[in-house]
Amino acid sequence: MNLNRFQTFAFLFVAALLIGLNVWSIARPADKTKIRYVRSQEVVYGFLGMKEAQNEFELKRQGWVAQLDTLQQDFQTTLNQYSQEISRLSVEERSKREELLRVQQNNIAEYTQQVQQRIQEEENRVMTGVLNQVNAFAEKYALNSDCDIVLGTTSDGSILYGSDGHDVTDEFLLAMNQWYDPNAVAE
Amino acid sequence: MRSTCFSYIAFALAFGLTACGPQRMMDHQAYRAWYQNSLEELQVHKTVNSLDLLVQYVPGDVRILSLLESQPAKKALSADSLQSLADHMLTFEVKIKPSENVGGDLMFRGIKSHADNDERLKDLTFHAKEQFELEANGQTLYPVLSHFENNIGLTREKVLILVFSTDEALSQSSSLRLNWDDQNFSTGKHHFVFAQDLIAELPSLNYETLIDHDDL
Repeated sequence: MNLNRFQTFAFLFVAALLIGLNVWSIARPADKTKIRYVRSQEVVYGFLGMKEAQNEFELKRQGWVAQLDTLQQDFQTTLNQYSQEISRLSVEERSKREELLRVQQNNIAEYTQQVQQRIQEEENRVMTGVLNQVNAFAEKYALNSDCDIVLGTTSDGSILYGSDGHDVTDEFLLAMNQWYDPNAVAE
Repeated sequence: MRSTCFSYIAFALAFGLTACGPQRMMDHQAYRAWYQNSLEELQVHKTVNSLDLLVQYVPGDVRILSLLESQPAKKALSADSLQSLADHMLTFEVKIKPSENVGGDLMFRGIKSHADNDERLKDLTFHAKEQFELEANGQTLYPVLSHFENNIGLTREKVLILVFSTDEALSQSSSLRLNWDDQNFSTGKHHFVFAQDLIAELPSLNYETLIDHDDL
């Protein structure tokens, strides 16, 4: 097969282009993005700050609920006493006692609402603090370990697969607990 | 052979005695210079929720030097009295500042109304000490005093000064652990730890050399 000058040039050009592309694909710098992931649930529930916050919140909650129980018991005692004495009371006396019971019941209902609101607010405050700390540490961890991206697995399936080599949950958790309370980890 | 053995023992003894020796004593000028150079060593900091939280430990001797500056009449006190004051006082400065890239006065963060703002200001001014406790000398201490510096328009940082009182002088084998349950800025609970070796190496101010000086 005889090629004219133009065909030879075109052939060489295409060959050079293909060789160039091959060389570039082999020699080009690899993607250096460093990605790691943590198992979010384990991180949050293994975090000492979370455990401490949960314990303290539970103590406060129990204190508030105990006050409420005491009020309810008082009300129940007054109600029982009234039921026992009702046959001996005059109409006027009955009406007075019933009014007092109504006031007591309303107070309990109001206090119950206040306690529920306080529990909700306290839980929000505590959880916000804990999650802000986890987020703050994630940034610190990423900077210290030259990670570009730290992902968190969630039940929604945001990460479908990650090899064990990219899972830094244990290391992350240990470092975060050390950061949170150096004494507790040393003990 | 025996003499070599004695030399080793003598060396070990000398090393041991030096290591367990008394604290360094300094006159007030040397002490001031040491403190200025050691500020960073006496700090612990964290960044949470775009806030830089810095806790500075201020040794009792520094507080006494400042006291003598502001109230020269106190120089009439004996060296022992001043030493005792310093030994029984543990002071920390907690500095709260928005991170570099975050603007605005942090007092207004998350605030939705004047009432919220008043509440936060009242809380920090009058109730801040309820958020802190200190573990030292194997005891848990609570602040006897807290002072809030709002610094409106002057600096971006807010400062809380906390003073704890202790019955016994801080033991050299003790670390300091300041616990703060932040109720105002959503940063959670913190443990700021000042290690035992840092505390053991703190120098001490020589009060005998201090009393007659007019250059304080």
